[in-house]
Amino acid sequence: MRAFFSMVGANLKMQARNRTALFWLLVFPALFILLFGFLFSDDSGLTATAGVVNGGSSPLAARMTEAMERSSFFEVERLRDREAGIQRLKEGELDAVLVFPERVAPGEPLRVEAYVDRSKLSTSQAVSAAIQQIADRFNRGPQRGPELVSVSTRGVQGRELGYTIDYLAPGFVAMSIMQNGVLGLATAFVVLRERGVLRRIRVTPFPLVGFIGARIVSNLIVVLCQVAILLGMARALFGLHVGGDVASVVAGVAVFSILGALAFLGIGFFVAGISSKVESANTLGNLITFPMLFLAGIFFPITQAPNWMQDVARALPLSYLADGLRQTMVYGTSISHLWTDVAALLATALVGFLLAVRFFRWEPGA
Amino acid sequence: MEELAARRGAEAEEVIRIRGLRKRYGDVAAVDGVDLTVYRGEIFGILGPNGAGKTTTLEMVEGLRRPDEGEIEVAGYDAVRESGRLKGIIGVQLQTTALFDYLSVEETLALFSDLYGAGGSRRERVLRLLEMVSLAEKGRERVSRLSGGQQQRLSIALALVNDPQVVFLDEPTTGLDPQARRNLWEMVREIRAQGRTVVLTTHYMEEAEELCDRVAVMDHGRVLVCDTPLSLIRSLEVDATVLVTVDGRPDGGLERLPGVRGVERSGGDVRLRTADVQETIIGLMRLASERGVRLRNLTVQSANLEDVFISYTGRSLRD
Repeated sequence: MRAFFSMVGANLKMQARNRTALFWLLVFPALFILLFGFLFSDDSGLTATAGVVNGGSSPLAARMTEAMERSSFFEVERLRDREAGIQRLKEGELDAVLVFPERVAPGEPLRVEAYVDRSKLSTSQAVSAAIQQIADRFNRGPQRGPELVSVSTRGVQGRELGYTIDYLAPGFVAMSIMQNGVLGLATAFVVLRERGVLRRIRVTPFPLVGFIGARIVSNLIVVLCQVAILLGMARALFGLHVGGDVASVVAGVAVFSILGALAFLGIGFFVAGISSKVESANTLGNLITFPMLFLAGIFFPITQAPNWMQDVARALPLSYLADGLRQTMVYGTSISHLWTDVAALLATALVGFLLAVRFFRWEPGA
Repeated sequence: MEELAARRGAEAEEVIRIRGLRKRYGDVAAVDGVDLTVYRGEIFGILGPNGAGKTTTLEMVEGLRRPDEGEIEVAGYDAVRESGRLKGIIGVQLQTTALFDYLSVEETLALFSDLYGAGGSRRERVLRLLEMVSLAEKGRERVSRLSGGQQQRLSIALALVNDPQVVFLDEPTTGLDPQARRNLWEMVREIRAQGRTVVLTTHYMEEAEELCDRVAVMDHGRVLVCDTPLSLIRSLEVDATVLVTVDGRPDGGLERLPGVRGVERSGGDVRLRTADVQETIIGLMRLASERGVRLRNLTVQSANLEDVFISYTGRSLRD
């Protein structure tokens, strides 16, 4: 056991000292998150444009509309038609639509319908919270009586398909897990073999299983740190949404990170086995990972793509990793509801490692 | 071989026994029926040109390659069937030693100490080995920043990390400058002084001659002859080479000089391999004065393992 932990420790040291590897591990995906974060940030912290229908239908409605206009958060646009407003919300021109009732029966509270774009998670959350806050001010007025304003929020599926940090960040994390697993591992392993380090290990009594196992364990530790750093950064800078309580989100994200890393490490070992040179490992690794980047819905949601493309995406392990991370991180979905993602990643890992064992080689050369 | 064993009496204990070892790669027989016996506590050299099958033989003993035929026993273990246990009691230095670039010298030794499951204090072991291979000051240096000679010494330290009974060194001095080579020889002698057996391959005949207690000369996958360097040289009918530069043309006659067994010419430089130095030189002088040619740079070289190789193969080790 001491030999195993010693090997894991050595792997971690080497990883931390290898600047090139660190670049691909952290800097590269971080740049993606920064770039896309700034490009597509939904400025939820600054202002939101709210369309208001029937804003003058009753004195209370008028006062509430004025309260919104005075708040620094909202820019209010008065609308005539509810349907037109919702349409503009779907197209991303508005962040919320408030519909006041045309008339209020005496003694009844003012029933406000608030529509938000469900696909823009953090904006919709901020907007709902702000509306609720303004409504609460009226409810907690000088005369503590029955509720005066009641807000019911309804989500609308926007057309923009949430091209936001909530969608992108988990995807980029999935991408870097894949690249670390396939390209990072395969090239590193081929170098070890080419330069005879594997043979040196082979003449010690330390078994191959231990060597590979140590490599996997240290890689998983690295992946968990990497995911924590990248998602933490997206959260701190761009308010990446955390769906649900922190403990279960962390657990869910950790499970998917490990499953994803195992799946792609399996592929990486297989690539290392069939490549005789670093260059060929690199080429083959890119050949496997590159199409996945575009077909697995990392940069844009695949739901809009033609059907054949969606079928292709369903065959790619990266889709399942990205989806699993997104679901657990952003929507707080429990893993028990994500068994397809889990099963797909486990199956990939299994097939990858079986192929890796079949094609494993100690010796360099063709 | 029997003679040597007899001379050593009871203390000559066989530690490696190789019989009928063969390994083919396609049509090429890399090792073509090798028998070797190595005794405990000796420095045993395998001498031969590149491609003679030295490394392949060693790698089969170390468990890196599987023999097609033959038996290998090391310290009582079958090298094929008990390869796992054997690895624990042998130390290995491979021909190309690349280690983990991002680890320091000390970290590398500590890691391998753990991989071998070596007992005792790890720190103490690492320091002792660094001291022995004169790398004490380089302990914190990254492996990638060591010079070739330093890397070679580190890989020797690695071969000793598990207190092995037998140490295998595959061309340990290839690529080293003469000073570094001599230092390394000292280290190998020290390993022997610790009571370990050393098996090394080399294509340097001086190395085999000066360092090894016994030498097996290999060519084309076979052992041509195996004995102490001195016995090998004494068994030759040639006992020296006379080197001389000739101004003018002493055409012919050189082959017929007394004692001469072979003549090589390149320009004015002549190499005479002789069984009787005195008679050859006297004859040479006479020939020169009779024909009025001038001799310069007369040198006599005692016979060495190079001549042994030539006498068995008809070619030079360096060809």
